[in-house]
Amino acid sequence: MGRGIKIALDGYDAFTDTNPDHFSLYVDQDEDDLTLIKEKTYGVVNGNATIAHSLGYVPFCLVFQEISAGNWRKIFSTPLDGIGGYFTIDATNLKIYGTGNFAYHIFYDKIS
Amino acid sequence: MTHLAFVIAKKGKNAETATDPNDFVFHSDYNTFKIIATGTKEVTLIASTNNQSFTQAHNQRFIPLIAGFAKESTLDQVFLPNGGNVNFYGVKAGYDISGAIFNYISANITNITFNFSNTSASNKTVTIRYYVLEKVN
Repeated sequence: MGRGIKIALDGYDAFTDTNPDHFSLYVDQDEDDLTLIKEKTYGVVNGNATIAHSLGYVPFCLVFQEISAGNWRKIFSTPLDGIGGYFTIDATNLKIYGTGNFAYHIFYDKIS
Repeated sequence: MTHLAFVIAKKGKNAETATDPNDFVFHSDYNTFKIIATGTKEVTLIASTNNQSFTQAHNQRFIPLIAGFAKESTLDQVFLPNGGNVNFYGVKAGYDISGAIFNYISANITNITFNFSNTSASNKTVTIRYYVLEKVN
């Protein structure tokens, strides 16, 4: 067992259980694939937008579009059918394309 | 320079001197993205029908971010929103798609909506694994 912190959910034994789904907090130096993702920034923009993240590498991000009032949908990269909002991200900027409100979350964690 | 934070560095990284957030499995200066709840929902996709929506209450007091995956009862692979269920792909053979298409997941203050199409001639049983994450904004 490596060095770290493990807090088990109710009903599970933190000393013997090995399923990360059974823990509210599970970090172990020897299992760094289980890194907890770290949020850098988030916000809401309207319409086409460029958000500089200043990380210098391509980070993990999530983008959602408000498709009707109070109703949000996760969006992806350029849609094959050419309909709807989409985004791209590189080592400098998150760029969002479309109309209406978009919520974005940018993380410190590298994807490349 | 040491941290004024609680940190666990990745193996081989110096917890006291590392400054790249990617060198840590945990760092108390950064918000960790949380799974608030998770569950599964089984639905039946009617044959030859587009835009079939299914709702699931998420029981949160805010509009959450939702991630999800779907799996047909008769197939091994899972498939994601914004795509069809690809059985195999070959350079010459091209795609073979089961007919199930996971169009999108959306959420409002009350419900999660899962939307599918089924282009095949038979009904399909699909199980969705969904994750209720943090507030959308």
